[in-house]
Amino acid sequence: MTGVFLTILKRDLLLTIRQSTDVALVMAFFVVAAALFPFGVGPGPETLGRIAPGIVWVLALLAVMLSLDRLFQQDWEDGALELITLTPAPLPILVLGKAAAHWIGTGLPLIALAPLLGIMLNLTETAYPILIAGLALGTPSLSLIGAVGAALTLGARRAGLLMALLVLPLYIPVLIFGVTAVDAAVAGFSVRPHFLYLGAILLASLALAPLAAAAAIRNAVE
Amino acid sequence: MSEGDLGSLLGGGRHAAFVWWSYAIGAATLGLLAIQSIFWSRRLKRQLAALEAAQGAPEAQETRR
Amino acid sequence: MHRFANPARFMRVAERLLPWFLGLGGILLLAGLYQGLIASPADYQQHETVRIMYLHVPAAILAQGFYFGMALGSASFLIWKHPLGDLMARAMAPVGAALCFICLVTGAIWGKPTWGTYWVWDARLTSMLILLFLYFGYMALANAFDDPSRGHKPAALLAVVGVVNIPVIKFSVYFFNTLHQKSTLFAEGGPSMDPDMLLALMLMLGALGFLATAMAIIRLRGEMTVVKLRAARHGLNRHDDATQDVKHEETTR
Repeated sequence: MTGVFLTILKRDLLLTIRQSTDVALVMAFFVVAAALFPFGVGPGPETLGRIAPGIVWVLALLAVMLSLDRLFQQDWEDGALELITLTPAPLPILVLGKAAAHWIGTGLPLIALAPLLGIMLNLTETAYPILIAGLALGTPSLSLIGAVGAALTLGARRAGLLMALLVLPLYIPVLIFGVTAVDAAVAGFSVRPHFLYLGAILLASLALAPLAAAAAIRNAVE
Repeated sequence: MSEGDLGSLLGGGRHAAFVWWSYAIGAATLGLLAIQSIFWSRRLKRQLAALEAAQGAPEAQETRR
Repeated sequence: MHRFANPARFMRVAERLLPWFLGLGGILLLAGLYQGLIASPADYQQHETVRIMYLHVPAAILAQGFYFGMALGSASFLIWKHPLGDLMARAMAPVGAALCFICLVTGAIWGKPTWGTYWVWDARLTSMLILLFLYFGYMALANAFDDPSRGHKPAALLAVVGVVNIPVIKFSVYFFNTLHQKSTLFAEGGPSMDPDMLLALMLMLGALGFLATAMAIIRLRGEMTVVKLRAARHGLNRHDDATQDVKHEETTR
């Protein structure tokens, strides 16, 4: 079972590397969108610093969402997804592999870029480690929940917009706990409960999201 | 209790306008949905009847195409 | 065991119940409006605006109940594969969304005199707003496929995913709220509610419940016709010769 997981992970990672402009575009979106906020709310360092964790998290959500079509869309169009479903290995494990590859191709670069956004938006120094740790714990859930949305919209009209409508409300808990963790750290409170909730969401989506996404994929390739 | 009767509510017992707006919007929303539902379901019924009639007569099929 | 899962039989029962639901809903609505707007006292703090509650709270309860019902129908469709559950979910979605909308609008109107502003990111209002988004997502997904029969399973899956997420979303929103707002802005009636007010609330809940169910039955009638219509069109295609079938395939692509 881990063999299948690793095979699909390796395949998707290889595809991600071959099409690395996709990753670069998402990262560019992340940075460019963050650069809009000083124009929107004014360059005052205090205002920016106060809303910086929220901006980074919201943009991370949007960046993950924009890259979700990479998960299944291409494989579905060229028929590879149908072949994948024909393998005897359990489909949820394969979905897990694809979601893991998606996280490595999107979540990790976002985490790496988050400090840059922190500097741009004058984030308080004490907040950096918590923001990074929160993103590390939260973005895998985003990829997993996003996999469900991406699988549900396979073959739909205006799949990208539809995916936003389906997935963003489901992302709200991750956003809330990610941001409140940073706020708590800045205010000098314990971040433990926030991280525990983020971890619980991750465990639940690890267990449930692959099942739901697999069911949706089965329906799409029928 | 004088505030409780319709007179004070209609005469604008404090904030009465907010109450009227709430109920008006509620009634409008449910009313519109009800009208839409009824007409939608009727239109479909008519379409089905027309289609079944066409299916009954094979030459009608050709003209439909 | 699945006797009532037969759509035609279910519809016959539902059609027979429809006038009763409409009648009962109408009577309860008149009684509820009388009790709520005229017979019950105004609140000594909120004055007349407390009367918004008799519409706001039943709408909130029913909007959540309808989403739960949608998820149950969808789950039964996914598990036992009979289409009735899915059709019920599709019929309930617009009604639930309308109730959700009413709850939000009346909440906002209530907020103006009570909080001094139309919108506050209060936990209850926020979670209702997210519920409305979930309704929109369901309806959009159910109608997003060129081949309509392809939309049934994704929409049903989404309803189930949504109902699993609702407690998480609610909890997180309440959590967010306790951190950002130290004091609750107003306490709802609670256990010490005036019996007159409670009666008005119950009457309106019953009225809206019956009327919303009646509306869902009317929409279910429509959804059933959609299925029959699709089957009839399919039959029409089959009667045609093969070349026309191919041509039809090409034009629909």
